Amino acid sequence: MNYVINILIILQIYIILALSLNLKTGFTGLLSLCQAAFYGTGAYLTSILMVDIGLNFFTALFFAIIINITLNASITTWSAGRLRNLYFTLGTIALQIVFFGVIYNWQALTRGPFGIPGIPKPELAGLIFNTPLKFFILTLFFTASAILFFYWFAKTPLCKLLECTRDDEVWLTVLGKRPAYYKFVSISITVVFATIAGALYATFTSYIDPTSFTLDESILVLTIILVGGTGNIMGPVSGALIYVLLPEALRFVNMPDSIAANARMIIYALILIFIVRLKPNGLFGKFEIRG
Amino acid sequence: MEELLIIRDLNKHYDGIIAVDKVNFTIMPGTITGIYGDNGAGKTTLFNIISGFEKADMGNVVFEGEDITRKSVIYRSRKGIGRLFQIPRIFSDVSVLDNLLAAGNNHEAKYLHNYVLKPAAIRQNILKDRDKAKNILKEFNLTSKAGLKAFELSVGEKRLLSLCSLLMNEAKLLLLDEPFAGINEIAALQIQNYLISLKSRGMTLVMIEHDKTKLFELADSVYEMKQGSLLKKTSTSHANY
Repeated sequence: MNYVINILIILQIYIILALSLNLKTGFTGLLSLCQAAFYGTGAYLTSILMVDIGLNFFTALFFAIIINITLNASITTWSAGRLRNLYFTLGTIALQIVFFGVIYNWQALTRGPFGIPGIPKPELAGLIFNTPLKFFILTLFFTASAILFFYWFAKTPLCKLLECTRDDEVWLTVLGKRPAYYKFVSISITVVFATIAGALYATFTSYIDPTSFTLDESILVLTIILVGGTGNIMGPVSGALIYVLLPEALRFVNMPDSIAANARMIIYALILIFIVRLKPNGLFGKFEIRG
Repeated sequence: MEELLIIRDLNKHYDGIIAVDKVNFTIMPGTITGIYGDNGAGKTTLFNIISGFEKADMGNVVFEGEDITRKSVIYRSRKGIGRLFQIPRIFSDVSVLDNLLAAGNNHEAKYLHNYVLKPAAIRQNILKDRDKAKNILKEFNLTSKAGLKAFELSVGEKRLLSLCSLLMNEAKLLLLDEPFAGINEIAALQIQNYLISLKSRGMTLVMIEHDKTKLFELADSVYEMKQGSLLKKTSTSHANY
């Protein structure tokens, strides 16, 4: 039972991550490869604030969101204002690499490659979320909130302006709107939810180290929204379902032990290629992601 | 009546090539002004300078009495300068109606916190903008296309949509870069009629065209542009459309 609950917790963390990247990449058209930096900053800040300063999970999460927006959203918006298309994507890769370099080498703060162990479980009014089921309920609360938020937000005039930023920045400028502002809004909301995902991940595993927040992880989250599709809510959710549940389902396919691990990865990769080939905009995608 | 736009001694050079050379002219409100000339005569550069996409080397752009020479595109747009491009610019992946709503001036809806603090004001503005957008679409015969994605429109319709967006944005001066390029005669006639109707409502239009006849049919005054200079002004008598 705990096995299933643990998988569902991880699934929900990826749903939050994918939904948040979808706003930036799907709705606003900023093809970005630094989601793991946003996510990792959230995880590290929450952990440091909880372990070193002794803050409660929710207080730590609040400050982590503020600091993460100040740091990452500002830097990313700044680069989005100066770099276009693939050059912006390259800028986000640079941010991701710098982030990894910082958490790997700033040992006084992050304990570098040794990671941060003993991250306490979240606590709210005396209720400690210290069992898989309790943690699942906490994660479910955040995931449901994220889905509802993005479902509501997608219908607002503000979100339409993000979509217009994606479609034609020059025309938006001619109409007297400031694209940089809309990019900042989009990136900041992305950072908020990535921080939540990072905080949940850190407190769920009780231990984080830099290897969980590499460029590979950013590519993976992008793959989730590419497979599921961008520009709506169903795409990232279905992409996360495929990413998390498919490898688990493949565990039940009987194969000789010597080849099982590699064969499962090959089958998994083939299924992903098949989906992308069959539905180039992803399973539920409204838009093609443009570099 | 006071001039809407005054261009004074405007100069622009690119690596020694003269693009705009000591251009002077004034635009009165409620008029249509035409500019024609060969490719490379400097017409689009002149529009780029007026709309703020390029900076002049020398000279001034004065709009409604304010010197806006060093102001940004966004500032000029908010003052009321609208620009229509030769290749129509639209928000292709959103609906025709949403194109217009995005062009509207619903300032409250820009800020996320207002959705919590001022939901009633946002709702009211959305309804107001929606009504305004629907009226504009009706006027330009695009009501049946309101729900379509903008990329599904024909070139002529896209150009009309751009024009509608500028009207939604409450532009006072429209800079039209070859509004009849790449469309058939019927669509061109339709656009021509819309432009006349805009003028009759007091809008001010400046048009670039290769087709001299079109300009003389429509404009109150027509300038020829050659090698960056405005050569001559011909006044027509279309003030009574």
